[in-house]
Amino acid sequence: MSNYESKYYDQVDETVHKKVMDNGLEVYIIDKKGYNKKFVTYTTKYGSTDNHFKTKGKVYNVPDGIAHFLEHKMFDKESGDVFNKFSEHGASANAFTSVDRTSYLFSTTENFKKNLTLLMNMVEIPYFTSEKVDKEIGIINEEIKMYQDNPGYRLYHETLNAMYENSPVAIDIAGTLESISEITAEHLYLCHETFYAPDNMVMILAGDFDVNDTFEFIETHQNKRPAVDQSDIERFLPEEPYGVKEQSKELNLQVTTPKVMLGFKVLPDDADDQLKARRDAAMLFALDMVFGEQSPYYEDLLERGIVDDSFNFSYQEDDLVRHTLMAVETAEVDTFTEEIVRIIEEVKEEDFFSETRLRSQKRELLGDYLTSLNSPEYVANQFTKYLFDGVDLYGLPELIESITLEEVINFFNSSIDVKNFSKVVVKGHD
Amino acid sequence: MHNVEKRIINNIPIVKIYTEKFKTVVVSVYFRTPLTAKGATTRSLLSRMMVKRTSTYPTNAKLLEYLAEHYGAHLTSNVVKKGSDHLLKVSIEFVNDKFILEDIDMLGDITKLLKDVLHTPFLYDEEDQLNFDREKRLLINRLKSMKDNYAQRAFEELLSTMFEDEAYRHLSFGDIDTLEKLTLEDVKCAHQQMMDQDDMSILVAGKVDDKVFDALSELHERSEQATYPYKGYPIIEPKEVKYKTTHLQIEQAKANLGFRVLYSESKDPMTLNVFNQIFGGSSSSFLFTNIREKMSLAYSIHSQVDVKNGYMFVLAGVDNNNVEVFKDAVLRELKRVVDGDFEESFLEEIKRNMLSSRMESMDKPRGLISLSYNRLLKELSTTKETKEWTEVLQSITKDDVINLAKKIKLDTVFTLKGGNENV
Repeated sequence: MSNYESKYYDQVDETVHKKVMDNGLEVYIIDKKGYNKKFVTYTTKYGSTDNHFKTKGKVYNVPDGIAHFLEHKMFDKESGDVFNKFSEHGASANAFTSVDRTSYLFSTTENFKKNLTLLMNMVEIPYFTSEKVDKEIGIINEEIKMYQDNPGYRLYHETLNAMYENSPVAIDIAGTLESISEITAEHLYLCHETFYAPDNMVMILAGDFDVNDTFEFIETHQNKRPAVDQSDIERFLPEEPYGVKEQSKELNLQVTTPKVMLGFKVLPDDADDQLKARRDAAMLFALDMVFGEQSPYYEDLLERGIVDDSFNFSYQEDDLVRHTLMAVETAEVDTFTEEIVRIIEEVKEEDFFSETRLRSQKRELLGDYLTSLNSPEYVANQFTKYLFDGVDLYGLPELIESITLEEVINFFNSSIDVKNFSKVVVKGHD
Repeated sequence: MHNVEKRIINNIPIVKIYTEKFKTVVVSVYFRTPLTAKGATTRSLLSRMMVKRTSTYPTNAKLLEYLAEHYGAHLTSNVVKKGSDHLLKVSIEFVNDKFILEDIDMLGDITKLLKDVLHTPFLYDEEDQLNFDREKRLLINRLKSMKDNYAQRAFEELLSTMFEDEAYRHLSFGDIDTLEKLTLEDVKCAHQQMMDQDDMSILVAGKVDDKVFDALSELHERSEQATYPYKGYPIIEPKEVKYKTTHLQIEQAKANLGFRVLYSESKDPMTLNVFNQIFGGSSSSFLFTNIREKMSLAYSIHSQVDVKNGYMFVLAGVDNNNVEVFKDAVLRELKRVVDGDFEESFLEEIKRNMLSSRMESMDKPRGLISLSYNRLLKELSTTKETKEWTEVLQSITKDDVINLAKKIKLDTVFTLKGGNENV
């Protein structure tokens, strides 16, 4: 018998099994009884913002876009494209890179172990040559151009750029044509060795599994890997000033209706993981009460033709950023901006939030959350995200329930500063 | 894993798909009618109006509040093209009773609400003019902003070039010109017709017992069953290839190719499905491995098919200077299939993967509903005993694929290009 911990979450009727391998790799199995599909993610805490770091006593600055480039190259082995191997074994594989992580994943209804071995070997054993690196630049360059042709993506990216002076979050995940042209096979080996160490990675399996057998299978594989030192990574984060870099910015793209995004910046503080998670939930409630479709403010803006159903908003915070974004497609860019600022100021001064609305918001969020748990993809990806943020995905119902009206009010008041925002507009060509 | 039971109550088929693996229950009501430009646009607007307010919850805020109280039940509507038809679907997804602490009769409340959603348009009067105007404005905005997605825009233009005089050129969500002219009366008429004459079906998936039939039978009543066969458009052989290019200030050309398949055998639609996976519908396909990975010509490239009608589309983002090279490369890959330049083992792999993704779609309540709905439609389109999907798939041979590839004819090449026409 393999030793592992199991935990049953009564409120959501889910069971999670955990085992930490001898080399430090954490593995979680999430039961999805009756599902045909088995879904696996293998994730490293390494994303587009990890460009400046120290390991084994040496400091490195690597080209922008390298985490994403590495992700592409991991599929390309001496024996050919691993995508095709997954397909031969009946699985479909994919990967993605975000600001703080790179995930490799597959789903399958057959040959589970063959595919799992394929995934582990693909991620664990690097193979890079300068010819293969050169060839990849062409494909990634087309990918960069595809994003450049997406006005929504451009708007988001330009807003981050306008808000942040030094934070690497403003760098495009795929980098630029110039930066990726600097990438060499040596860079890729360095980043792989540093960030793909077992103790910097997590594997999540969601589906209908024989738990003991699966853990033993992974353990046998992991024990055969060559031993490596404990990972030793120090990331350098640049100092970020409080004020936004640019208050206003406009760019011309081929669009019919102007799109505007407002980015309200406040800096990350020393809040611990729990507090951050509470603040995140409270801000979700607050923003939805103020700007959601049920809100009288939204109704008014909608009737006056200042917003339409493209209006959306979000609060985001992590080690690098803390901000609230609001975006809409509107011909009334200036009125929209003035109204948003006016509404935030009014809400801060008046007694806007209510217990009744908060209770209803909590129920709604709980329902959304339960609905999402139907999806093994959601479960595996979000479990990983929350784990990296120091939070348990299945602890969310309790956390949601415990948010108080006072927290909603306080966090809303302290997390949006109407004097510190960037306004970015995408307009059609004149 | 799940079992399916169909009953016809009040002349409307109700299908129950019982499964315990989900945390939610989904109810979908389908309305099916032949596709026309005005019909699609009117029904698209109607579908949006229906889920914004009801006679019991007369504002969007009140309706949303009610849904939130019911654990954020998701009420949605959508419209799609299918075969030669236009489908309007209203769905609601809500959490299982076992996760609810309060004393709420979920199924009872949700069915009452759904009935209200379906019947409210009968009561539209002058007071609804404002709602109508607002939804019309919002839909016009949406249709306009869809054009800012250049890949979508290129695909729309491919359709209107390829299907110049055919109904298939109409989009499921309608067009701005038709929308501008619509009146509230048009919407009421479309609704009346839909409730009286459309082929209507109700499907439910989740952990529900037989009481669900009683509850759902309350939704609507008909004096006789309204139904008609489900079929595609007649097959048309393209005469000569149509070329069209439009210029916009964009970084990357969106190159789209439209093909017609001259179906002649009953298993051709399934063979087209298999062909598509070999050709450009999967990451191990010819287009992906050769044009993307080997030639580095495109990052996004795939083929998609409308199997009912026998249409295939190849869609890609390529460098502005490489459009011709790209088109030739696609035709060369097609020729490879015609020449039988692929292994039997690859065909078997593709078939296994198709079976696997079908199994995977059963892991979603909406996937189960959609498979059951397809089965319902199949029963309508033929009186003969139909073969199981899996059985037909397994019967496809390499020769079938080669013979089908020979029946695929290029019809239209549409390119949305960066830069100026004169350059």
